[in-house]
Amino acid sequence: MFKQLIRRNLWSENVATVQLLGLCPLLAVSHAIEPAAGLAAASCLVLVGSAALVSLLRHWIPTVVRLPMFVLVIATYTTIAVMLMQAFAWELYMQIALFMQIIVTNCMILGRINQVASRENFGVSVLDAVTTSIAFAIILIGMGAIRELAAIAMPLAAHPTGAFLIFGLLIAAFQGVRRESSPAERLAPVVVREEA
Amino acid sequence: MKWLAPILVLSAAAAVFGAALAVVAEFTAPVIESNRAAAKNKETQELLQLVQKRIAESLASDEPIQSCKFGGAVETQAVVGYGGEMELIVAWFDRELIGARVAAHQETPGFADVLDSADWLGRFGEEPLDEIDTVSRATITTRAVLEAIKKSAQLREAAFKACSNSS
Repeated sequence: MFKQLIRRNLWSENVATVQLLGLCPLLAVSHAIEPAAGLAAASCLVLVGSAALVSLLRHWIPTVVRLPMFVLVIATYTTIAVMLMQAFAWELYMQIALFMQIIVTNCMILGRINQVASRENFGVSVLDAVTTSIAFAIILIGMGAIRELAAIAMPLAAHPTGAFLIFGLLIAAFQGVRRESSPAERLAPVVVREEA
Repeated sequence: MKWLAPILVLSAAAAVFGAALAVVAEFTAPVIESNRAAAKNKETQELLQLVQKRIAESLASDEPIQSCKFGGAVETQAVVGYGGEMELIVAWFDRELIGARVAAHQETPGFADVLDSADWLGRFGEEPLDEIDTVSRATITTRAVLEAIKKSAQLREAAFKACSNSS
């Protein structure tokens, strides 16, 4: 079951390239490796911390205040991450300040908390959060590396336009390989679903 | 009393999380403050060096000595940009603009490139003030900086006029 979860989070339902969540910070801070790594680390702290806490508290959270409670937890962790980064990585913080603060609204995090951490036990929730964070970090830092290197030859790559172009190509490549390697998934597209 | 549970849970959680944040803030606030001060100090030192260079140039040349001299000055002011307050540092020698830097800001990353001294902000002191225009992708940020500096320049000009009229 764990193996399946890891495979799903890292590959077949990758949060960035398949579910297409959390793209705002992904496109915005992936112009170089350093800011990308900073945001990936902060997102990881917030997601894993929130998932662990919500999972522990899940039986005491009344249904009607579920969402306010999740947002409260995520906002608390985000604020802690912001304060820690301001204290110990000031230069990095100045580069990505705004995108650190809007981790609160990252739907990747709220999505994992709502779908997994609020229903599953502590172990599963933390494993899900860790693997989702790793998947997000790989794509974010990978984009940072690609764009930083490509910008040497083609300055456009470091611009927002380049972010869209490169991420588009990355999704296409990812989907191509994913469907090639597992034909079953070709029959069940995850991203586009036709409404009945 | 079914309605009471959500209120109690949410209030308790807010109190606990608030307390946690207060504790973290207590420990990080002094470090953050010293980081902020160090960043500001670095920018100020750069500007001071520029001012000193200009003073040395002035002393070495045969510029006529005016009665209304203000000397070198580095001024800090808070300017409201797109994402909140920015700390703008401006250096002057008499009525002449020497340079400008921004120590702390919350402008959108990427668009805030204009505040880099190697970018748009570096043009202050290098080019005549009238030739510097706002930058279209960062209009609010650049307009705030430009207007603040222009206003300071006008005040200095007015002070100079008042001084030379009276003497």
